[in-house]
Amino acid sequence: MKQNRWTATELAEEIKAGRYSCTEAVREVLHEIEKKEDLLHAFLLVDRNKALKRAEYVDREIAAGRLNSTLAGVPIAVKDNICTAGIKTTCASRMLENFVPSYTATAVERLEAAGAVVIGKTNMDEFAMGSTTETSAFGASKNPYCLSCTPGGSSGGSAVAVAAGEAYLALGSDTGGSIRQPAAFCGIYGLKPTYGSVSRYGLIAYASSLDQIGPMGRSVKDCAAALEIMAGKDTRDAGTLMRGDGKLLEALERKAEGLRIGIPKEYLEGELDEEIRQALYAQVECLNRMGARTEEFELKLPEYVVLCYYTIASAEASSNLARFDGVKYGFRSENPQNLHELYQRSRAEGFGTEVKRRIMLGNYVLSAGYYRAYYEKALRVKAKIKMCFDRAFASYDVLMTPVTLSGAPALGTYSKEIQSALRLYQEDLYTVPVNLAGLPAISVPSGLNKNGMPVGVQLIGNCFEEKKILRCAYALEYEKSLGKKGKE
Amino acid sequence: MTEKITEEMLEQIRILSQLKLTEEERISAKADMEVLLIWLEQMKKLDTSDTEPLVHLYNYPNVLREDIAGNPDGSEELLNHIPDRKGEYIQVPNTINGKVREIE
Repeated sequence: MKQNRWTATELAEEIKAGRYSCTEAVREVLHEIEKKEDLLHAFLLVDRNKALKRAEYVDREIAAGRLNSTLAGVPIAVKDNICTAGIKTTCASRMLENFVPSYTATAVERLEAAGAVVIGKTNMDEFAMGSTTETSAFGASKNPYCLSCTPGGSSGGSAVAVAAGEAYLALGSDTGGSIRQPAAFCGIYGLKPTYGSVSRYGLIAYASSLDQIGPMGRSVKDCAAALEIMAGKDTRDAGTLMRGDGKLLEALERKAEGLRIGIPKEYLEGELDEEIRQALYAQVECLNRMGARTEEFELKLPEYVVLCYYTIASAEASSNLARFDGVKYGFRSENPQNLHELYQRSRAEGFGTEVKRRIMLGNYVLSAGYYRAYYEKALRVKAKIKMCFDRAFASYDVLMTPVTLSGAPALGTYSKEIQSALRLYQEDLYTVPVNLAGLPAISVPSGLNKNGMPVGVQLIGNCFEEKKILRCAYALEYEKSLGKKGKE
Repeated sequence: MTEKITEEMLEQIRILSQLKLTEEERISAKADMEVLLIWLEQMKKLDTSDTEPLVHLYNYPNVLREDIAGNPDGSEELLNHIPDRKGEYIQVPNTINGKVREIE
């Protein structure tokens, strides 16, 4: 697969040094998009003219010395649930098919202020509800490693764009694994930041207590650079917090000495694919060689993490999506007879099956009489999950786990049948506890399986300790690059 | 086991969800909900009597911002999203059965 010559931060260096320009980089990715989009369908929208116009401006600013960030001049792709002023933002839903936001999400605003250029909006599962991009109202994306396989989801389009060289870097959002799982399936890095570190202003809400925007890129440094720019307090998202100095790039060291890595034993049992288990052990070996202290331990998470997640996520979704009623913006049904019919038909016609299913489930678990048995119960399970992680981080700096049970499944694994959806829900077991506990985690590409499909491992840190997981991922990346050089 | 979803319960959820369902959709929504609720109900097996519901992850105090008036998003741009608008008003059908009512 042809990928960009450089990573995003390398590209910015080249541009800064005057050996390449932002305009050339934008033309290059537009060319890749033209060649590949019919096959991959990573994007829902590409704004060629806007991107080229902005590239010219960015080139001038860089030349004048007014822009010199670590990502100045880098073409980025943005998941289509993140608002971009004047650029359609659909959430891959009929409901928002023609929605053009009047404002830009803080995360994008900060990257643009640092000189990044948005080239387009990427495909996703409708309202981020799904793990294959197959619930998108506009068709699924394809995995660049195998076109009959899913790229994962919900940020599948962003993962494909980066993996296939259609963008140097992309933004995704992660509510239960939506950055990390597609990153693992497409062989790239995907970083879910600590809850509260990146503003959710302009992110169309799915489950507000779990949602985080994060970067997806081809190197650890790219992800660190993007998070460093995006993170921090924002008056427009009262949930944002700043802890530590935020200087993530400084933390990147090509060594792992002193790092205490815990590997939850129970995560390596059960249905986990043998090849992923081996890939994880290989990464453990690698960290041992680099001076880390690795150890298997019992995390003892309660058995019902996935149930807890779906209860809370559906409950919050039912509340967040109540705003889409055909009145103020978005899809409005034709010729309703009265106001209630306007609401109900607009929602029935605007939302897809999976979204409606979760809205109804959410309303049930929140309704009088069932609230305690389901929603409140889930919040108690969440408390137990948090306690397990607190205990683990008293002994370890970083936890290493698989991201997924297996490599990317074939397209068509998700269908509207409830049993297929339920099977996919249960595969989220390694990613959802991280969101429930608010932790940062990064998906690290860890080779290919025998079918030639990428597999990943996940590094989890304690809240606001992104530096530790990034340092660990950086060390692994270095070892991998040494390995590659050795083979050449 | 979970109580089966009755027609009345389904109707209640449908109303709370503000969704119109065809007869076919009703049947599948009912079946799907039953499967999902049986699945979620397994949480009951876990003893959580020793924990409180966790609503906020962090124990940091709430910091309120200064009360400064402003309109950073621009009300006119937001009003432009309204599918059917008359001046400063949103036009919708009657609450009770009837045609779209003219506001003027």
